[in-house]
Amino acid sequence: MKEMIYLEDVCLDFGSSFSLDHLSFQVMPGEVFGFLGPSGAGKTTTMKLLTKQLLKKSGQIRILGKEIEKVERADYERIGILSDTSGLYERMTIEENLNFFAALRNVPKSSVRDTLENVRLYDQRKTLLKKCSKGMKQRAVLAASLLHKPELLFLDEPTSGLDPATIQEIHKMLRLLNRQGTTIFLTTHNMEEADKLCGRIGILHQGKLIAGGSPQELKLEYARDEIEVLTTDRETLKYPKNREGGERIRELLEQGRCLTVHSQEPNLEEIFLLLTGREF
Amino acid sequence: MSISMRKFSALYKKDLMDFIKNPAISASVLLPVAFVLLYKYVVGPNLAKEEVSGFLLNLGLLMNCSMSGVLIVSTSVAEEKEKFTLRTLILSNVSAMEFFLSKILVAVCVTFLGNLVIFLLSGEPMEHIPVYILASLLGSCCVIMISALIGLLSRDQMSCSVLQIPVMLLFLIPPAMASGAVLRFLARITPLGAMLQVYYNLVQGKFGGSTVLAFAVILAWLAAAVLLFGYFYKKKNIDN
Repeated sequence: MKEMIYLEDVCLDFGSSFSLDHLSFQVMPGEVFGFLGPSGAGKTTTMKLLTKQLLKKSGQIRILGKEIEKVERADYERIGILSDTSGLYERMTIEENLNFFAALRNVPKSSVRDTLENVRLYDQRKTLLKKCSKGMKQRAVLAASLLHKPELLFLDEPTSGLDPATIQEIHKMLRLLNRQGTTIFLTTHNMEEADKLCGRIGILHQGKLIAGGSPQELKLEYARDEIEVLTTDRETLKYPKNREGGERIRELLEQGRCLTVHSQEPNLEEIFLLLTGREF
Repeated sequence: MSISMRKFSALYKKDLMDFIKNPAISASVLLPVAFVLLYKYVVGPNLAKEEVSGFLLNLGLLMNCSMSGVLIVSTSVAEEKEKFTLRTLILSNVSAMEFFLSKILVAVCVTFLGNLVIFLLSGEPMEHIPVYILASLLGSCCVIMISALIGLLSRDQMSCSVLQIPVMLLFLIPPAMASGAVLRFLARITPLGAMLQVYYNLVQGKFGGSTVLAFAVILAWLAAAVLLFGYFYKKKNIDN
């Protein structure tokens, strides 16, 4: 099975203080791959390299199995892109915007209706875009990138600045899309989003990939070697993950003194701090 | 560079609807027509008929070609850059050729329509209309191409207006107020001044050196605009 995205030793100098340093990773068909990092790590720059908005200095990039230099305009009909700065036309309604992009993509108008329903904007389709809330605009832009049911979808911080309810709706939609076969490459600085949505993630720091794998693999790799128990006396006790610790916990359980037992895996933000020595 | 007629058609319809809904640029066509109407019914009755038609035609044509010609494409392109809709279009696989050609075609159609209305209002003889169409199309296409260049060079609408105003004034004032040697010379070497020269020479049956020179001036401006557009487009093509 050929990779949808393949990077090997990709380097880019971007101004005097920033560069991408020997970036290598791949995204397989059907995956949701998350690219995490704080602001300025290089996530958007990487996205721009993958979507040919920037040129690499060295290394190899393959998209849809082709060298990026050989990716033609026709191949971009199989790709959807939501950039962090994508916009739609404010003097048009949501529906007019989507009808326009449907005409550009040679997609039937029935697709517009289906997409509007998927992003929960069908009832507001006649609203002028300039009168829409930020959440509605973001869903409309996302809808425009999905109209043609792309095989590969690039999303640059798709839920940045949105409220939790809207984020949840967008996540539901992305999961549905992924179940229908779309490979998703998304960048985010929201660790919780990456944890919930992504099958595999890569953590970027100052242009370098410092960790990669599924969220669970990373958490287990960096898990603390202890278990935390909250007792009925509201006391927090910590025990090592060994025979002795197990026996102590068993005693507490038999005495009915355990309220909660936690295995103390770090979250992704704590893993980032561990790896870089700095806050997210 | 290939063009998809389907995409071009969708872009054209969108740009035309946007022109109608955007008062900032639709006023550029309405204003010259309004001025012609105002002068026709306020100043016109006090002048001889031959004087009136020439005056109205000059005023209206120069205003329409300079205002609509300069404003429509450049403002539209600058706005798309500012509001990030241009990026959305590029990421939706629209080529630069399709993008610019659709805006240029809207500007050509709208400016042409405005020029036609001005001709009819001016009272010039109808037999002059073929020459008028030729001259006005040449002149307006030249200015529209320069407008596309301004749009390409601008980052946003504010920086666009900094470039638009002097260009508009350069194209409008010398031909409109061609008194004095300097202004007359400038009028002859600007595309709209040359456009008027072509019209009046051909209408009077003059096909000599001054007509050829006027054609050459317009074509030189058009060629320069196209070459500069190509150069700056290549330079700005990729982010880095």
